[in-house]
Amino acid sequence: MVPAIEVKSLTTGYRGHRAIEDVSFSLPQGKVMGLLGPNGSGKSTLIKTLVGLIEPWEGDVCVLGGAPREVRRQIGYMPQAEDIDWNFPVTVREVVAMGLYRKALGLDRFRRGSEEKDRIMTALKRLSVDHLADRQAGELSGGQQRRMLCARALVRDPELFLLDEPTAGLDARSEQEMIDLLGELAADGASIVFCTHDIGCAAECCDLTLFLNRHVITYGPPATTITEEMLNRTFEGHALVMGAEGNRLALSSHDHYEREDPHRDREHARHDHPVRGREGRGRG
Amino acid sequence: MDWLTDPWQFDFMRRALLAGALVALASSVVGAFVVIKGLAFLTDAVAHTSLAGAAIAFLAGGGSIVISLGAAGAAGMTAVGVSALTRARLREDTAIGILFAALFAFGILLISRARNYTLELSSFLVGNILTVPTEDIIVMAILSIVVVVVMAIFYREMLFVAYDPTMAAAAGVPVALVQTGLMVLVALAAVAAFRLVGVALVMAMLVATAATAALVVRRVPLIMLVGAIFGVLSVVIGLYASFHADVASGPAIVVTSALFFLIVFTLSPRGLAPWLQRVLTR
Repeated sequence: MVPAIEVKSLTTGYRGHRAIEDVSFSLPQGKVMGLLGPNGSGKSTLIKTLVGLIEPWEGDVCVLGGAPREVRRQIGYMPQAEDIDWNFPVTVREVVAMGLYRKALGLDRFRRGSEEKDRIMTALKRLSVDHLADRQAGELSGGQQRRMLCARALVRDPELFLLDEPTAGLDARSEQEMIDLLGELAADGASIVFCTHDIGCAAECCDLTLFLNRHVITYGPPATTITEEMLNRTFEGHALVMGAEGNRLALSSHDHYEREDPHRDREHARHDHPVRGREGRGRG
Repeated sequence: MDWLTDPWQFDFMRRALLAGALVALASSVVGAFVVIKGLAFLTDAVAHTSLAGAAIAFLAGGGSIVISLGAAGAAGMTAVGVSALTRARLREDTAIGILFAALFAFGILLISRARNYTLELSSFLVGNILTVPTEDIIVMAILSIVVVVVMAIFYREMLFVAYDPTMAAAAGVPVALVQTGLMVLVALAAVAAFRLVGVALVMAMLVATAATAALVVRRVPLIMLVGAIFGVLSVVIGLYASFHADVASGPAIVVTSALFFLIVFTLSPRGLAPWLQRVLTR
């Protein structure tokens, strides 16, 4: 079986800025991988490279046995909630329908069968937000918004999920539900990569964790990678490490908490997120 | 009730109504995106720079079709130019500001060569739908229909890119092409509207009706539909005002659409209504 992701000596960035250097790792299919690192460490850049939004400068990226652009229909991508304009007049159903986008020419463009409707409702039910289908996306709570974006990512039953901060800004309950969902998707055979600031969450639900700070600091099962030394090297001393009943819980610096509100001014959010590529600019 | 039916006995009034209604529809269809994405400044620039193209065609002795094509060409080039400059990392409002002033000034400079300069300039600036020849009306109608049809075909891509360009790019939508395409549609709608209300007031047709609709409904297709209704009503009422009170038709249409906005903004729960309620019940 080909690996879900095979990255070899990847160096890339955006606008001439080198964001990640010499990154190599391989993710077997059906595994959950947590991508950890401080702001500006290149997490989003890596995810965007895996989706095909950013081209490698050097090295190779192979996703599900092909180039990212060739396999995009098998990838479920979830951008950061901060990238979304929550004032945009659009319903939950319309947002999830975007996940089914396909290139179509001629009259095929106008065919929107009942199959499409069914798939949207199935995805919404799976995330228990089907009762919100006709609500405005901007009226939802933070947790509901995240589920809507997640429903959009899974509406096409992809083999690989690439999720950019799926748990950021969620309360404890919503976060647990999101973690449970990732577990369910993995149990169904999907491979998952998600970035997070939350080391506790990564320790709990990941098969593999990759610590990134421009370079790969360490990669492997959480039991071997989540150590005080690796946390310090990754977060450069900004991680708060606490021992708790033998388990090590860690919280990455205050910058995590500064970014928690998904409704924040997007311009502002962009400044403390240098990893945002030009694709993230909201204009249509 | 003669005052209701009188205007429509005249051929020029019926033609103005037909063209106005089509322009209102096209304006509202692109206006929805203009309002949601904050493209009002771009719209204004595109409308004003179309003057340069119209002036070149006019001075070259072109008829109304050639003038409209010239205007469409200049407006389209502005749209593409702003898109290109922005991609070259210039701030969008800076890019617009430069092109807007330069091309608008160039248009006026050209028209100033004409013998009856002020007359021509004022007809470009505030429009006069009641005096335009039939072939002009046909051009406006064709432009409007093209805008509506193209939007209907590419609506999915337009919505996807406007809402979430990152995800749209990941899904394989040609984001830059769609964004430029929207600006070109804005340009075409602006040229269609410019014979109706003039370059100075085009922005009102594209912004005011859609902005009014956005206060009433909260889905893009509905904003387009309700905006078109407000637009057509503005054209009808504006034409009545023009006929009976002998005022210029373009400004009459624009003032009507602005009044609609003011009324709806005052009454809407997303406008002044909650504030008014608090003040009045205090």
